[in-house]
Amino acid sequence: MHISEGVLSVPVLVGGAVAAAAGVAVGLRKLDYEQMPRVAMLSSVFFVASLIHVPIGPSSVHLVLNGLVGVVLGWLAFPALLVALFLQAILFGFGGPTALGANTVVMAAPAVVCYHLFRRALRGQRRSVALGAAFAAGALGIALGCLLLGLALFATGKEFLPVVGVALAAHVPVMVIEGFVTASVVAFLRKVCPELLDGRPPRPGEEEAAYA
Amino acid sequence: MHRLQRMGLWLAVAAGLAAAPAHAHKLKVFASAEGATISGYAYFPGGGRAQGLKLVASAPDGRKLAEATTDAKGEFSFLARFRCDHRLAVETVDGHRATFTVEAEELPESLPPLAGVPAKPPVSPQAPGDTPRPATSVGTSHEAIEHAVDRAVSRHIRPLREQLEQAEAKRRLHEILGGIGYIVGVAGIVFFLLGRRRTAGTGQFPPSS
Repeated sequence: MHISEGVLSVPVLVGGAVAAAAGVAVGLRKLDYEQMPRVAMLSSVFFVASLIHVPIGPSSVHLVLNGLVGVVLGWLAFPALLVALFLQAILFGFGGPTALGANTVVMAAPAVVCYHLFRRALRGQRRSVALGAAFAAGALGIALGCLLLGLALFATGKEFLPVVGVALAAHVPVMVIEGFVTASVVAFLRKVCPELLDGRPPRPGEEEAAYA
Repeated sequence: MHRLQRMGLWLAVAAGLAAAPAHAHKLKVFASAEGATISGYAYFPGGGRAQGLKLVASAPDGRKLAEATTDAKGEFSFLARFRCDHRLAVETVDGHRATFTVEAEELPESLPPLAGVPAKPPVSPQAPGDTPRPATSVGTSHEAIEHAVDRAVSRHIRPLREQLEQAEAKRRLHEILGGIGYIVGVAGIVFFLLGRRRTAGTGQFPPSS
């Protein structure tokens, strides 16, 4: 899912960087002291997840976990993924420094979408609904990522449908795996630390209202 | 909650340990010259070979020199026409790209240099565009022996260079731990900044919990 250096055209790179900067700015405005450990933790999870491989056919794809990052962090996914993607680029050669903005948008924007779509369901009373939503968030994060990847390459002058088709086909196993991973993490968090699923800790006095 | 987050960090480290021997999903290309033939393959480290990809060879100044397509085994080969650096680039449909440079020194001296590119003086000046002399010309001339030696040496060091490439593609534990360390460091700096902002108004230290 990482777009390599030298693939995208300059306008797309600039557009990606501007969009990523906007997302990071929104994320940083929402950042406060209590959330910092959570952001750092998910940033490291994302950073490491890319090294876990799902071999399929001649190619091999890796976990992304942007859906999971999204449902826990919301807009904070932007700064978290920016840092992790930058480190992946310089340490592993995934993507590259110039494609950093575009890659951040491709992976963090689906995270934010997942957060807004599934936030309520994840905190709801019914466990089965919450786990279903978590699975959907894990899978949708990847699917939307493939779509954005296709858009970025389309804007560079490639054909849209073949790219998205290839990317989606390659990522179907990853979507399933990430759905399960996200669901199991959400099941665990619901039990031990449900406030993590809200994207921000409940402030004093707000707690009762949230659970009412 | 802090215990939980610490546990999460340890989980990330543990996942990193588990993933350490794995390779990255990344497209790579390897090539070497044997005589005037440049051959090699495109592959995903830890995965398989990349089939049916278009490969473009270009000169250092960006001029396109040759094109090839990887076969069912991910391999390609083409004939070099000039003695200059060949910059090979392959690209997958979904935005992965890899490059590899076959340097001019690997190619036989009988090939003409590319016009406009500074190169070492060729043994026999030829106009660009001429087809290279067949590298297999028999004879006991000095040149023929040189060719034979060149080819044999490049054939024998090829496995070694392949191994080197693969070792480089392997993810090492210290890179993973280093990355996590950087994230912790960045988090520390942000903590510091947030903490300053938070205490600036009250003139108090943040609660130590």
